[in-house]
Amino acid sequence: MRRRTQQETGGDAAHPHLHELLVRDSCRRLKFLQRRPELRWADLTESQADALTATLAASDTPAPDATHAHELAVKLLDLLGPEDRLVVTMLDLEGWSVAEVRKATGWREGAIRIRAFRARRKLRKEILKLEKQR
Amino acid sequence: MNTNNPWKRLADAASRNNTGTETPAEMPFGFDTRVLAQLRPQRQLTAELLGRLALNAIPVAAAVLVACWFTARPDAPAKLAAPDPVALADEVFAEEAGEQ
Repeated sequence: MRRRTQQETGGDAAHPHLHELLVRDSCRRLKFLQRRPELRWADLTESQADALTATLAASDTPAPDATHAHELAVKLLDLLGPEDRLVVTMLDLEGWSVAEVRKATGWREGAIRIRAFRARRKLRKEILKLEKQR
Repeated sequence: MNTNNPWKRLADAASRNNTGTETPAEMPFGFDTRVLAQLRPQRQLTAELLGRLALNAIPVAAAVLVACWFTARPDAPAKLAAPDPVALADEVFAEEAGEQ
């Protein structure tokens, strides 16, 4: 997303309307994607299951493999709506700050924080639900 | 965010995958068209307004021109002008002289 906006808007903040247009376009495209209603342990590949096991392990154990963790994260993000998914992707996966997200989307900072909080809470619940099915 | 949140741990691991390994982003189909479609009205709003006013003024101006031309056209018939009494008298005298 960040790379896409930098490529298509010249990498500066001189065209905020372009950022907002891009965000609207991304949300529209995400709406076309089939939103997965539920994710089960059986839906995970072996490598994704390993990544989830490593994620749920104690914090002093090695972190999960980046590629498989990314695949698992994308599968979990499929459970979210387009706006929630966009915010969490920008903040948690791509490292945007809230101010940058506000500038890109035109949404208020409070709304972004609340949306991110609720989306993370839902993702946490889904991960714990997966853990119970293991 | 809480550090023992499994999503945080997963996202940290997944975000390492984003650095450099992502394929270059491509412009989605039709995106540039939508950008141009939204940029053009913003830039030319004033010019477009003036253009619309000018287009609306054309028939009004044409109607005024036609009305003025019919009111004071230069080659209007002479019979509309008041007759000269001296010329009428000369015509009558000439006709009587011709009959005699």
